[in-house]
Amino acid sequence: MTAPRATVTGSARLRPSRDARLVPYFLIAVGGLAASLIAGEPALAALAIPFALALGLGLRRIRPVTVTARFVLDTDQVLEDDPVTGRLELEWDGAFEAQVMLDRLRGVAPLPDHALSWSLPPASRSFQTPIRMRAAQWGRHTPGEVWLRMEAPLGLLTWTGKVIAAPALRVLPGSERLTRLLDPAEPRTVLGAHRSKRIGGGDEFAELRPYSPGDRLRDLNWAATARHRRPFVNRHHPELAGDVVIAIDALTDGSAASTAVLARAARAAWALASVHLRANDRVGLAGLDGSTQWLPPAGGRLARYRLLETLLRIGGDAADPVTVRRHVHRTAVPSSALVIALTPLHDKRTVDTLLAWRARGRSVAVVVIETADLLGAPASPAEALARRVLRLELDRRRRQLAELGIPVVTATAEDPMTTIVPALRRARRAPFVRRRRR
Amino acid sequence: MTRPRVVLASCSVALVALVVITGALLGPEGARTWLLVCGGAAVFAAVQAASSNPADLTPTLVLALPPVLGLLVGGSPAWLIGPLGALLLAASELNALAWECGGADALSAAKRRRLVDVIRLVALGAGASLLVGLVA
Repeated sequence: MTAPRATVTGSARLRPSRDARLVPYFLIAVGGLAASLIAGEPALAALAIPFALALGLGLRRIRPVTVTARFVLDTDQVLEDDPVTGRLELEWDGAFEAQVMLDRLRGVAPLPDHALSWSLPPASRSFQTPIRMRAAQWGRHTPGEVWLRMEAPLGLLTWTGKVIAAPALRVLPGSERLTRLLDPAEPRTVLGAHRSKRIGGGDEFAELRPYSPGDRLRDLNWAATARHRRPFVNRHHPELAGDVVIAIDALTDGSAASTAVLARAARAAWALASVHLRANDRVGLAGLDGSTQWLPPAGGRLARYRLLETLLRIGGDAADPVTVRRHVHRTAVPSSALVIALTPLHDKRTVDTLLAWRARGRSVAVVVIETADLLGAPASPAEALARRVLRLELDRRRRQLAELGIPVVTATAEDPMTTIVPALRRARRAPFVRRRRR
Repeated sequence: MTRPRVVLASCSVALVALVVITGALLGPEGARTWLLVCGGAAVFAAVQAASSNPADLTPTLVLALPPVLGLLVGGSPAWLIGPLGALLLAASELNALAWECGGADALSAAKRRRLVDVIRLVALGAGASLLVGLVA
């Protein structure tokens, strides 16, 4: 995948901060010299001399330092697990011993053989280095921030601060999966065809009623007419494009397992969105937890791009530890929409949100992202017991949802599509989802 | 604590102890007890600064001054005040360096350079103050 280079340039003005040693050194030096002059005792000046020398060495520069920076990424869009390469260039006014650090990595991970912090020799005035990282998590991220720390000799004064943030990077789900999602093998017969509550022209049978003037002759039900000895006509449900809202539980604790869960949810969400859009449905997207992103249902090609952007923003929120965590159950989900929630059900508040939606009359289907395979074998009997407790709690939450008529299915790692689509078929029990055609 | 940090912190405490003991022993006999008390407190403060944050050696420097300044009194060797001050400076710098080593198992190149700078500075300071003390 190729994409244009992303470049950010900027400058920062770093103010000096003093070390705790500076004040006592200053007091001893100045106090010693002053006392020596007042008391006429040269030995006091001798005491002050080493400290005065240290101050003279350490305070050669006390002004703020201006740093100019340029951060270039070779591409602004990569696939999961792809390398992220670029270049960092820094320049400052003055000659210092400095340390440069690429910190607060989001959505990317350092490569084992590539450092992300550098110590520069004394009297350095600039710094240039290639950057190599790995795209670790899908989403739209600011991959990192460049921090600079410069020291005066002896470290009596330091200039520390953030210099520049890396350009925004879009990390898309893995190529193999993405290809599959863009060109799904699943048939479109179930997805994206929602029955309207109204009765009118359409293909699906709704009811029988006696013939009245104006009815089309082709709607006559001959069997019923013969049985009742008066004319009866079939009535049909019209087939309209439906609204689908895909809600992603984006709550993550930053661990590899939760990142993998999020990736599974994203792939499933993109698959669902793609097939629904192909079926002329209007598709919306919501961060169910851990993200406040909300995209109202819309259709068409533009909606597809907006969906992808929102999906990436949800991923970015999940990777950002300072994102405000709140629930979105107050989001104005259209009453006619089918809500498909993708969640591992790890957070009870997610269950509460889904129940609240259901209580307000929304059609809700839940796809539980299976996480057991991410944990590996338990390391101790206590851990095994903890997992049993977790499993029981998850089962309880599933039952809690199912008791309110919410279809709950599990998506495994092998092939989520094969489980998600049957889940939607089961969602026909909900009032707004059409029964499967025979 | 890692080895470089232990070594540097120990050197810092040892230098403080050396300064205050020298000052107290060579200082006026009448005030020796009080000078030793101050010196002991200075060493205690140095140990505190070496082992727990905040790594501030200010109390140590303040408490070590009485034994050093005691050399001004009577027939004590006042020319030693400058070198002892240089050793106090060295103790303070080594303590700061010990904390900056953090969890590193070995001194980095930058820290080695800094250590050399400290040794040079202390040598220069001791020499200059000794000269001033002897000439005056």
